[in-house]
Amino acid sequence: MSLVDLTKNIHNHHKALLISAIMVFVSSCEDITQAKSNKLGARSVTTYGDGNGLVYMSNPAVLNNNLNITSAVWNGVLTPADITDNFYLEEKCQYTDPILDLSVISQKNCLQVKNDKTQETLIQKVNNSWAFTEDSDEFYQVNTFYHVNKIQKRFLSSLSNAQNLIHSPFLFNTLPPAIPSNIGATGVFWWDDISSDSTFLTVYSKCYLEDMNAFFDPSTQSVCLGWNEDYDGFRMAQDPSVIYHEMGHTFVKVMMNLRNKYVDPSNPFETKETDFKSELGGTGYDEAGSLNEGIADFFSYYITNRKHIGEWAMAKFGADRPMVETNPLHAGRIPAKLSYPEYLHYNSVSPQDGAEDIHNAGQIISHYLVSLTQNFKDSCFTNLNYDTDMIHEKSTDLTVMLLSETLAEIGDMSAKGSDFFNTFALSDLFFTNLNADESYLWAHQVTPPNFRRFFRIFGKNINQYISDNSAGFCPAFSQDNSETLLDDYGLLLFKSYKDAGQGISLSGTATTKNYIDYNGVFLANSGKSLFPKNSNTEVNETNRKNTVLVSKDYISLPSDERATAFVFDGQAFMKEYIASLTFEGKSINLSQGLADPEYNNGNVKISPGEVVGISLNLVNNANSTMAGVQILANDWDHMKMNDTAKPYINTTGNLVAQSANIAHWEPCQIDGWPLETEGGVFEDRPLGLPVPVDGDCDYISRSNKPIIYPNYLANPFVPEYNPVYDNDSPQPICMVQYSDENESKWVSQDFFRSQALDLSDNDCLNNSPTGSGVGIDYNPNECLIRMLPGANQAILGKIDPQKTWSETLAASTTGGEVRFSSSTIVVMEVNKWIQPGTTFNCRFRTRFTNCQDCYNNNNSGDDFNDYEYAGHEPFKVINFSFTVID
Amino acid sequence: MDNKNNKSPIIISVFAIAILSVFILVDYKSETGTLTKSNLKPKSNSHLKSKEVKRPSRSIASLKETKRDIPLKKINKNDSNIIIDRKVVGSSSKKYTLVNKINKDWKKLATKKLAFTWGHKIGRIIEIDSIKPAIYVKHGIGKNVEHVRISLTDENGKHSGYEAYIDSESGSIIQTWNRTRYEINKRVSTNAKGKGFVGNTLNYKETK
Repeated sequence: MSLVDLTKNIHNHHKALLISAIMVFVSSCEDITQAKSNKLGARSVTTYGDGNGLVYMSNPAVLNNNLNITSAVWNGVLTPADITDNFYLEEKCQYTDPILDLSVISQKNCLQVKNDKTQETLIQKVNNSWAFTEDSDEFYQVNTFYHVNKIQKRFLSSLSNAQNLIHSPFLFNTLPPAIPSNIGATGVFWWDDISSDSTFLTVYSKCYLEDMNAFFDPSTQSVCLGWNEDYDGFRMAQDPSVIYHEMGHTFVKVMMNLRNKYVDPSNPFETKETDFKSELGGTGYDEAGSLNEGIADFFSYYITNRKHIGEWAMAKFGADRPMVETNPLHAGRIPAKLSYPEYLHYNSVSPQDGAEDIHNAGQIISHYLVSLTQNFKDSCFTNLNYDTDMIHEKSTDLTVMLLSETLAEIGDMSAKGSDFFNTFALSDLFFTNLNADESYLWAHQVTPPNFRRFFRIFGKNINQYISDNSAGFCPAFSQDNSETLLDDYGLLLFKSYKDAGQGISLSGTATTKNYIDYNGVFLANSGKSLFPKNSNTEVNETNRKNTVLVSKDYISLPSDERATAFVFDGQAFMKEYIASLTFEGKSINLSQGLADPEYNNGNVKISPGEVVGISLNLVNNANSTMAGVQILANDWDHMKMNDTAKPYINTTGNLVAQSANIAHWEPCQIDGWPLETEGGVFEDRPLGLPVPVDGDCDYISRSNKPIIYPNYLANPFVPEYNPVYDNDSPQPICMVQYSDENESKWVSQDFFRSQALDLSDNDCLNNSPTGSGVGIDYNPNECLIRMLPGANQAILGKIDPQKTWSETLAASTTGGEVRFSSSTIVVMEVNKWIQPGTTFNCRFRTRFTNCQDCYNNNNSGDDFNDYEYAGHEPFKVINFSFTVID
Repeated sequence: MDNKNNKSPIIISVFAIAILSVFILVDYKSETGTLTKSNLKPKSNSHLKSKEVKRPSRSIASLKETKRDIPLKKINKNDSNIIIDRKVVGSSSKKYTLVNKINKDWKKLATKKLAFTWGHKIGRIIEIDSIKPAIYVKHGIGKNVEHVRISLTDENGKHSGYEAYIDSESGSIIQTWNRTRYEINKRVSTNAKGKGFVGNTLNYKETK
């Protein structure tokens, strides 16, 4: 800038200053004597002290003590409160790291409130006051800010407290903590990067939504509190409990990702992030999503100390929720506890409309968490000289500590589970979510946090940090108390706690590891030693009175006249369905030119070229309910390469360079099928001798590694890079029946396409996305039938005894209507070159949350290792056969 | 009117002058390149006005170029810049073999693929904002990827967003996460009625 420009600039500023000063003077007079102008808003005539404004401390229904109130009445119920000393409606985050003895303040503001997305600048205080006219946009922005800031500060205080308690130098740890000891250094207490613009959480207080709602969008780091003109005078922002709930989702994100940023061991001054961020819950219905909703409801109670959420804003849509069984909304329908799985579909406002819905199921979680906190209040703090508010704060802090520690372990994408192992010094050692390459898949699909996984870890943390006689913070709440409460809610779904650890070291020969193998190792940064247990603490079985565990043997496809599966092959429906998956954020990539909903004929058969939705209609043959039924259609270790010395993938490129070394896969015999005479591979091995080796049917992949490119560096310009399979490469689930003159057997799709159809690589599903050669994820064993990634998993909420899933769902609603959501249907592509009459068998794997033998095979309570979930032992294999018919 | 109120215009004016003076200083610093308050404000991205989203203003294939887009140059596979420009996400100790190229049209390809699976309807908006290019390594296989933020707005103004890795060569979505979470559940496929069949489709028998 030149001197002339600068002078001119300053001159202009002076002019502006004079005009502005006059305007301010005039407007300040107007404040006293006249009605307010629109431009200066909505500023209130009264101020309430520096940085203060008028705030509604609760929603209109509560403040006016009238749950039937129809419009927001603020008259006489507003309270002066400190908003912020900042000039704008924004705030920096402050986190106290008790271990590093560090107070961290975000370099930039970490949250802000705007009216909506069109507002470019934040509102600012006037006359040092945040008082604005009731019902004005500014009034609601200020109020939204007040509540967002209030819970933000409280949460960071609770998290700091959790870090301090868990890493306390006075605590004799037997469990490696999941919460990192250096939260202040990595900044994981808030968003991705506290030093960048991405730090902002933006909350929109008047967010236009044609369909009234509220949402948390982690990708844009925003919370949208809905509004539209159809609801005169109504806004979601009028209900602080909704604000706290949405903020609860943001805190779940923070807690799930506490371990996903770390100090780079090669450069201690740099932090690095894992490949992905974790999320609790997918799209549609699942128990992880239900946990997220239940925890978010708890965060409303955390601030309000009220066991009811959304009495105003959610009640308008019949969506308010109680958090205690005695709440009038339940109308006495809950004689004991809101237990799992009985009340999974239950909706307290309209109990006749039960449905698989994460908010319905999440009520079990919120009721449990509130009840647990009440136990802390009763057991841990009543003898201390605390007032009610202090007891609530102390008790909820303990619950948040348990949630943080649990979610940090569950969401760990580094797969380490703890800093106990000197963070990344032992690069090939993993204790949770399989390994760093597969952690997203394991944590979100293969072993996702269903109610069992969550409460097994949560229970372990209660034992260690609350109940333990020498190290717990409240031994008065004993392990028996904890197990009794869990059982009251039907959540005592496990037989032991994961105390000893079950990890794997991939260095050299893959070996399993327990924490005890690292006895005395120093916890990085905090400098304390840990002395791990060498066995798992077992659940006291006498405490299991209500929780029922069921064997996986009782789940199957119906063998009578009931539907085996529901098929969706209507053209319009499948187009809409794929569109909805795309909208929800599933990564859908259709094969090009070989299968398309355009080919769908809607005849409820599976025909060449179609993209078909399948919903298995599983039946529960037991006398107790099964819940959290998960059906997996992703690749798994169920086939065997006939010669591991010939591992090259059958591609055009490999046929040129490695024609004598092309791999040939055969199905392993599982549950006695297929017989050897039908093409099945049977490992005739006396128990334990000789030991199964890499590549055998009874050896499960330790890494879940699919494909390797060993020759790429030697010859980088060969299009296919000569890829080979890993010996235990997970394989697509469908095989095909092949008949020649002498026999009929089950073979791989690759074998069939070569021998029976003579199809080239480009005629196979999942062909090259660029149109030439094959893609790097190409596997000819899904040449004909391909389960679509992004839609290769289904979740069924529960199946009642002796019923199918559809019968169960129909019984939950008055009209008996079965509604399919995006979580209940898997999608398969059917290659257009398949000849009608070709028969396939697909090996779906299924398990459920309250399963007795899906998590261990000897009823011992010691769960399977993570890698074993790449095989069949933890699952019931469902053979789904179908014949392609034109 | 009490004494306090009588004085308030003067007090307010004095404060206003003081505050505006601060603004002058702030803006002066801004011109001279110092980081200032105004610079801390988010960039004025072309947010849709809330009312505007109701109108079918753009075609499905419309593509939003944002200021944060990082220009992609055409890179030869042998060009060591691939490694220099793009950082490996996750552990730096990962060894890998890079198996794809960088296509400068990756965003167009990605938009086209999203438009294909989402379906063509007037008023739908797809926005892909680049966060950063990277190399994503899994089991020793490295892929050039684009870390992006995808925002979808349907013809009724409903929004959905998520982060994703997009293959820099093919434009295919590799993985998504951080998806929008709505409060009041509206099912995607409410009332969809599937038809069941018994046993193998070969002996097809339809049931309710």
